[in-house]
Amino acid sequence: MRRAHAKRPIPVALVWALLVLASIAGFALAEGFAAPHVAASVAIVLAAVKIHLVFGQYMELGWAHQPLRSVLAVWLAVVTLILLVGYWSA
Amino acid sequence: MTTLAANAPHLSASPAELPGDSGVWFFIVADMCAFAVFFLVFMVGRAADPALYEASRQMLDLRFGLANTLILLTSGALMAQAARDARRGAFQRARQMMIAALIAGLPFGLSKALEWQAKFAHGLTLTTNEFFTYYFVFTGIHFLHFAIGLVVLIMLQKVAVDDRMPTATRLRWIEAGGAYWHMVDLLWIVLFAMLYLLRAA
Repeated sequence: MRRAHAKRPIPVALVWALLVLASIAGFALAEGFAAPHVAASVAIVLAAVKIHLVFGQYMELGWAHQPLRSVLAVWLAVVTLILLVGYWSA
Repeated sequence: MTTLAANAPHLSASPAELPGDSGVWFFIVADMCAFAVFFLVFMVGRAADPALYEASRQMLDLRFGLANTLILLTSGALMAQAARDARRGAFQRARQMMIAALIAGLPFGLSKALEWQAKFAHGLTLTTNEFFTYYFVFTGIHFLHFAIGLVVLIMLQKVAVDDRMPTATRLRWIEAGGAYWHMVDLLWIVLFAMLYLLRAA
């Protein structure tokens, strides 16, 4: 059976709640946190966490097809680095 | 709507198998790589002129960005549930979830239209400066993906209950369409952070 030996999927509603919380946290930091560099860096990391959740749970790659999972993990790492390095080099 | 798939019998065969269709995944990866280049170009431009980018960013309404994010995440959750329902053979419920995903996603289009209209009303256009060129081009291309996604969802909710098609084929279509819809989510997650949230010191 497919995914029989794999991790159990997280309930969709819980994933959604985590994504919403992370989005609101990023927004709140950008709006009001006193240290802009910290706020921006945390917002980038939160975005990366959200994308990891979308890959793993919404796209259902968290427990299937290692090659594609690796490709998307590299994409996420590269995009996160682009944002972090680009931000800090300004 | 939470634990339907946890103990469900799965229709596909191998743990190494892709959810959906390999051709669609090829397109998704290629598209995401193209967007990665967009992100790189934007961040290089931002590093070259941070003051311009910060002044322009402050002209954006973060509330629109957040609202758009929440809309897409909610629609994505409903689509994810649809795929889980389909995998356990509940295609009628999967169809309902896809219709819900479609309805939940529609306000993104309205919100984007209102946001762009507000920008145009303030004289901010594609040619205002480099930041707004990227802003309109990137969000415009993303909006095109969103619009295609809506068409995909409309088609999929019909496919879900088309008994003339083999069950495995219907599931593969739903998984592939869902993967595309989630790509629209995740590209927006990056755009939201990059365009709206990177506040300069």
